[in-house]
Amino acid sequence: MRKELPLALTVLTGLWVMACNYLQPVAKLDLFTKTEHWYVISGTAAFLIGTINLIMVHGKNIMRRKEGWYNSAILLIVLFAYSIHGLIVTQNDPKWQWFWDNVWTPVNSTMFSLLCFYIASAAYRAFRVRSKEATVLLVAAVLVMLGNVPLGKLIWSQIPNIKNWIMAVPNSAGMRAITLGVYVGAFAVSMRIMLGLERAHLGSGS
Amino acid sequence: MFDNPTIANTVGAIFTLFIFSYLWKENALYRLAEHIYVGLSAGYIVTMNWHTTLKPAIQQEIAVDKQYYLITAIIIGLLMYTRYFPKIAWLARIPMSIWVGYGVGYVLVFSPAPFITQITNSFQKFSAKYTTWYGTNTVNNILFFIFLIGTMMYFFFTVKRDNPIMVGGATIGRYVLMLAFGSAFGNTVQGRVSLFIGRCQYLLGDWLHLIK
Amino acid sequence: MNIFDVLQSVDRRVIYVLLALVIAIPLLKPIPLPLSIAPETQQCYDFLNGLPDGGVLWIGGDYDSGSATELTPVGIAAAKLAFKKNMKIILYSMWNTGATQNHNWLKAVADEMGKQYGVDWVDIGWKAQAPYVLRGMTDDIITAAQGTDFEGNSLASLPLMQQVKKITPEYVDGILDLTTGSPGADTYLQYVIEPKGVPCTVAVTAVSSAQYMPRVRAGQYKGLTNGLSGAAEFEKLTGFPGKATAGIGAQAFSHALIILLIILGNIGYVVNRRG
Repeated sequence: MRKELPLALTVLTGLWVMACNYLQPVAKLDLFTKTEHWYVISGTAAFLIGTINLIMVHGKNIMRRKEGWYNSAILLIVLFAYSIHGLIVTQNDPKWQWFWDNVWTPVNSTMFSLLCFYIASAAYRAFRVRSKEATVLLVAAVLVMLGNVPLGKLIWSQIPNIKNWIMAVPNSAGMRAITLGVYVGAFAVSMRIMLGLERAHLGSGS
Repeated sequence: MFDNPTIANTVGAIFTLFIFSYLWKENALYRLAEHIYVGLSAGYIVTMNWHTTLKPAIQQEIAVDKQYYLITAIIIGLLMYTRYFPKIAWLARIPMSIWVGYGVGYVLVFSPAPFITQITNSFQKFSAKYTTWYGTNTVNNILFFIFLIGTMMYFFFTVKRDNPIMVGGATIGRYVLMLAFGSAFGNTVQGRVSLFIGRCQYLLGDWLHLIK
Repeated sequence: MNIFDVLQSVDRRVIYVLLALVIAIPLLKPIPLPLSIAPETQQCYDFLNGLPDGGVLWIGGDYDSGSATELTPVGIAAAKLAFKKNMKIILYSMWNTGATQNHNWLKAVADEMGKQYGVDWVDIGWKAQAPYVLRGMTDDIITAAQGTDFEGNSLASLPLMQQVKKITPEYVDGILDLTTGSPGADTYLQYVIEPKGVPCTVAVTAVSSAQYMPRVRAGQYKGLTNGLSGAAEFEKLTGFPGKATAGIGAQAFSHALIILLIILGNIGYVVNRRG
C-alpha cells in the first residue's frame, strides 16, 4: 500500500495528462486546464518545505553552538522578520521591497560576478595545449572570444565571420547532437517512471 | 531613508564590497552578507508564494468562486509536511508521486514536437544556392549534416570501432565537439566578464557617479 | 625558477587586480570601437521590427539580477522599439527573484514614453509553478494567472487584458524571451511556440548561447542576442544605445587580457615541456 499507491498515482497522473492531450473523448471533457490549476495549487501548498529545512539546519547550529553560530542566528532573525513583514504588508510594500532591491539584488549580482575572476584565473592555469584536441578547443575559444567583441574586427576583418561560422555550423551540430541525446534520455527516464521501473522519487525504503 | 537613493546605493555598494572581499580571502564580512542573503531569499519565497498564489486561491477561488475542488489540492500539498513525522512520513510520497506523474506526462506530451523539429531541420536541402560565407547554403548544410552524424557516432559506445567508417565518424565527432566546447568556453568567458562589468557600472556609476 | 616557470605561476590576486583595472578604466574613459552585427542579432531585430504596428508583444522576463547586465539592455531597447511602433506589451516573469526588477525597468521605459498601465502595458508578474501557469495561459490568461497582475490588481479590469485572452497568434503577435536558464526559452518552446505557433525571439546570456544556436538554425527561435555583445549590437540596431554599448569596450579589453594570459601560460608550458 505504501509503495503501490504512490506508484499507481504516478502512472495514473501521467496517463491522465497524456489522455487529455492525445485522446479526443477525454480532451472534449475540457478538464486539462482545471487539473493543471489543481496541480499548481497543490505544489504551492508545500512552499514551506525549504524554509523549514533551513530553520532546522541553522537552529541546530545555534543550539549546539557550532562555529559561526551567530551567523545562523542572524540568518534566522532576517528570515523571520522579512517573512512576517512581507506576509503582513504584501510584496508591493516599498519598505519591504527596499531590502530586496538594495541588499539581496546587489549581493546576488556580486556573487555571480566573482565567477569572472575565477574563470580568468582558471583559464590561465588550466588551459594548456596538451593534445591536438585541446589545441582545437583553445583556437575555437580564442576565435569566439575575439569575434564577440570589436577587437576581433580590428585585428582581422574576417574574425567575426569565422566566429559566426563556428557558432552556426560545428557548434550547432555538436550541440544539436547533445540535445537530441538529452531528449532521448528524458523520454527514456519518463517511460521508466511510467512503467514503475524508476522509484527514486518515492524516497528511501521504497 | 527608504526614499533616499544615495542611502540605497550606499547600502548596496557596502554589501557588494563585502562579497568582493572574498576574492582576497574568506572573512566575517563575507559570511555576514551571505547569511543575510539566504535569510532574505527564504523570506521572499514565503511572501511571494503566499500573496501571489495561495492567498488568491483561498480568498477568491475557494471562498467566493466556490471552486471547492481546490481544497483537495491544498490538502494533498500539505501532506508533504508529514515527512517531518516518522510514523506518517510515508504519506509525503502521495503528493510527490502525483507531481512526478504530472511532470512525466508533460514531458511525454510536450517534448516530442521540438525534438522532431530539430531532427527534420538536420536534413536541409543540399541543393540550396550558395549565398554567403555564413548562412544556409549547400556547403554549410553538407558540413552540418556530416558534423551532426559524426558527433552522434562519437557517442555510440556499444558499437565496435573496428572499421574505418566508425573510426572516421567518431574522430570527426570528437573534433566537432572540441569546436563546440571551445565556442561554449569562449561565450562563457564573455558571460562571466559581463557580470563584473555590471557590478562596475553599479559601483562607479550609480554609487560614485563617476560614469554616466 | 626561470622566466617560463614565472609565466605559468602568476599569483591569482595579480590577475584579479589586472582584470578589475582592465574593466574599470574603459568604463571611466570610454573608447569607441567598431561593432559588427552578428547574423542572429540582425534576425532578432528584423523579427521585432517586422511585427505589426499596434500589435501585441509578449515579453518573458525569465532571469534575475545575476543576468541583468546582459539581458535588461535588450529588454529596454525592445520595449522602446515596441512602444515607438505603438505596440502593447505584456510582461510575464517565470523567475520570482526577477519579477520586481523586470517590472521596474519596463515601468521606467513606459513612463519615459508616456505609456499608460493597463492600456499600453500590463505586468502579470510571477506566479507559483510558473511554467504550468504559462501553459494554462495558452488557453486562458486570466484564469491561469488567478485573475491578478503583479501588484494584485484585477486583470479583468485592465483594458489590454480584455482584448488579449490567451497566448495564441490571434492575440499575441510575437514573443521576446529574456532567458538565462530554466524555466525560460525552452519552456516557451514546449508550451507556446510549437503547440500554438506564436513566433518568438530570444535574448540569452552568453553562457547559454551555444546551446540555443541549433534552435535558431531550426527556425524555432527567430534570432538570438548573445550576451552583452549581442545586447550592444541590438541597441545599435534599434538606435537606443544604453548600458550594453557603454560596457562593450570593457568587454573587449578584458577578453584581450584573458587571451594574453592564456598565451603566456601556454608559452611557459610548451617551452618547459620541450626542455
